[in-house]
Amino acid sequence: MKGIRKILFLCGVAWTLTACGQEAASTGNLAQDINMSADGQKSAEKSVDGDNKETVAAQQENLKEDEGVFSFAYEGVTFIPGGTIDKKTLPKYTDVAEVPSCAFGGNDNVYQFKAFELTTHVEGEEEIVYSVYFVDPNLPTTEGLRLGDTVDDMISLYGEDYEMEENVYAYTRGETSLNIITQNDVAVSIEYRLEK
Amino acid sequence: MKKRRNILSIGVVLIAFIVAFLLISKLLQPKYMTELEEGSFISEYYREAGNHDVIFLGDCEVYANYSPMELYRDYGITAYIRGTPQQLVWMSYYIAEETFRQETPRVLVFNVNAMRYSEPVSEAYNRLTIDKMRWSASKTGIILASMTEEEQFLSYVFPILRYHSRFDQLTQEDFTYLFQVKNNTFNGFQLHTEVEPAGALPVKRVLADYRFGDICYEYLDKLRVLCEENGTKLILVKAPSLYPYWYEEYDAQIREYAKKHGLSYYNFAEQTDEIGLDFAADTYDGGYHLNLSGANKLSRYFGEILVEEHGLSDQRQNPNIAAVYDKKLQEYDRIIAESMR
Repeated sequence: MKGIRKILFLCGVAWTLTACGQEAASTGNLAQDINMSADGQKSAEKSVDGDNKETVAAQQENLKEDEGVFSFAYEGVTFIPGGTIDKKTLPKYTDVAEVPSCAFGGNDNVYQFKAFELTTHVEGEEEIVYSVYFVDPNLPTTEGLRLGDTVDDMISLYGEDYEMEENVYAYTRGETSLNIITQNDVAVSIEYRLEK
Repeated sequence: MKKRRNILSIGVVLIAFIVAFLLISKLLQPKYMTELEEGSFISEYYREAGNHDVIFLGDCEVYANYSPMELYRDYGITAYIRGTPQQLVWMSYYIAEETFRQETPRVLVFNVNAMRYSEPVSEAYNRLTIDKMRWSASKTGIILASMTEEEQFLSYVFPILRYHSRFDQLTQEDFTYLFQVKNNTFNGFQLHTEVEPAGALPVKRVLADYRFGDICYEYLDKLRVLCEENGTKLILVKAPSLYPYWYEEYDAQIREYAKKHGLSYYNFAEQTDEIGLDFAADTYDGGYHLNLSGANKLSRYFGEILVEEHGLSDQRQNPNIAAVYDKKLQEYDRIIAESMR
């Protein structure tokens, strides 16, 4: 009887010791984090009619108002890093690539529009906007910045409240950011991104 | 007498506790046998260590793209791939260190894709490389070099600290493979016979900085010196994947490094025509990795380089080696035929 009590006591000690460790993950969680195990996430069909358009638009609007975030509108659809997209309401895109995610693990969908790329991360049924990357020098950001504009143009549009690391300027609003890479003080890369 | 009995009963209880603790700990650890099988690659090697002419190190670009079975079938080269998902440069160094304690290959092939990463990517990837490594100074080194900020060293020593909450997620795999293991690769090669032609790829983005991190050079230097000390020839390669992009700026840095240290460097992404690769047929995931057909083509191409330029000899005349590899090839061909059905 004494022996059993000792065993129970030791098990209790062991449980206490192990339970106070770091937050545990299952292999299921690990699976979500690993690129090559996400073979099942094949998707991205092209269609342009929308059932949930109003719901998604309302969610986006709430995000913008509540937190103060960067957003980008294109053909009537607003993209907010961290917000969701409704594939049915997406403007017409030329192609979509499924790539291993750099930020989340699993896979990302990269929708290619003529002037920019929209990267989303698939989480269950939802697709979360991760970034909007500008490709066409004629496409302005919401505030009017284009590829090829100077750092002075950038400052006049966005001010001086930026973080700078070598040739990269980053403006932050809530969990979103606008990242501008420059070469010889000229913008060569513009990207709205979710900071996470 | 009573005192002795007490000591004895305490001893029995302690042993029972330790056995129960180890058993529960083992049960709760991921087995990586049927789910996330890439986590088992690192430990498969221990059952096969020794007598390899060539050891490959690197990430998925090695274990998906080169077939040691074809290297043997066509050239009599004995090779083993010690590749793991997202294997970073410091990981490759410690795995090389561990390998040299087991054997001394004539050639060590290092895939340079990891040079672009200066920081650990995620705990999940760390676990896939480290969890099943045998304990040694190399394992301690790899843990310390790879841990993300959120990780704790002790959770590698006592995995139960990490996996204690898997109690309600245990599957049949956890019981089936509690005391047994199976091979998921052929000498480290992960076989894929599926075909998914290359399609759309993201645009080539402008990077803020193309320079490799100091830590990557530091460990590449260590790897080079380790090879020199063991009399092993270090060869640098870049696999022919279409994405993520291997920028010209990356390529130039590796060329410069190879030239400076007298190493051979082969960027197979520039030689896809010579290799005969067709990304409509030779990839299983749209151009990121090669399938069996692509891996066979790349292995034949590289095998010839290994023989012609690096003097590797044909081992097929060695009866001991032939006996082992003939058996492996039989099984390899059987699995291929089965998966093609």
